[in-house]
Amino acid sequence: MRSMPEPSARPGAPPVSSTVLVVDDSAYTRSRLRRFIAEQGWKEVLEAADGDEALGLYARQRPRLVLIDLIMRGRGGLETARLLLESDPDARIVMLTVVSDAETHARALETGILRVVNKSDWDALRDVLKKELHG
Amino acid sequence: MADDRTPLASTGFTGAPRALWPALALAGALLLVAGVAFAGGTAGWPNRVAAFAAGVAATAAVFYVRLLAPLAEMTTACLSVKSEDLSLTVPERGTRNLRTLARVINGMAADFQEVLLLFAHMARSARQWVPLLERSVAGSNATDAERRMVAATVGQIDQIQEIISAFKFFRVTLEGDAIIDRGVNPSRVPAGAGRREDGSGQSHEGDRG
Repeated sequence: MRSMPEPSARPGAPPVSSTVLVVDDSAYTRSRLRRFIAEQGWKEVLEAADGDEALGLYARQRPRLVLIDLIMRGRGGLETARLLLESDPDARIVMLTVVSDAETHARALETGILRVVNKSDWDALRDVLKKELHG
Repeated sequence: MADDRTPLASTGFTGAPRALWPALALAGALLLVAGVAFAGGTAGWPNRVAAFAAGVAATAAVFYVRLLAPLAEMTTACLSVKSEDLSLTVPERGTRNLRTLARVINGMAADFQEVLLLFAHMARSARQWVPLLERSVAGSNATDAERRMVAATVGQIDQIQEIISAFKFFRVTLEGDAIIDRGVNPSRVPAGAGRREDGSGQSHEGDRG
């Protein structure tokens, strides 16, 4: 049994300036993203294989940016994003997906995330990573 | 969040692997000996038989919950993948090793789905250029070799889409060229399936950026 997520982020803890948390149940995708993110200048990439693990890691590490897969087994991407934003309304979250219908993208944006990026749209992801790192 | 798992009861698994029956019998025999020793010389045969039956039942229950049921679920999930169905999720339960194995199986299914959906998206993007390609070789300036090359390329794209469309995915449905999240659109049949939509491969930005 996986441990339950911690209820909220550490109060007052500053975000780590150059850490990204990648949340995806596909190890293949996490590995690809890790390499790509490192190439964009981010110092540290944390990985979580599911929503519960992501919530615990976020509470402990306070990464500057979170990239979440929409379709995950267990706690899905939307629910994970919602819980992260409940624990920290300032959390900066980008949703990654191959799902193409506009309704799903709109639903994701309603949760308060920054952006929905298609998983094969590396240019868009590069822009996001650079903007978040230097912005 | 919609539960997308297919009930295991509907998948046809009916019993314990035969290889484990000797282990069950051995455990029952050991419990019989323990029961006889516990009852001592004062217990009659009915009590000994009852102790044996209770021991076998308890052992079988423990084996079933801790070993056989998780193995059955994993077997079902693996057979489903073989049958182009990636929608099953194996619950992480049983012994520690079985939980690890369940996580590995789920991870492999997730990886497989991920790669297939990326291919689906790429094929879909490539398909959008097909009319332009076909128009470019429709004129009299194109050679036969160029026309054959375009036709072969289009045929390969179609084959990729056909192969991928045979799969059943976890929470995702392919409708024509569109990739739909059933969690958000549980009953959606897109009117524009097969055509470009607003969300086709584009990235969307929220108002917090």
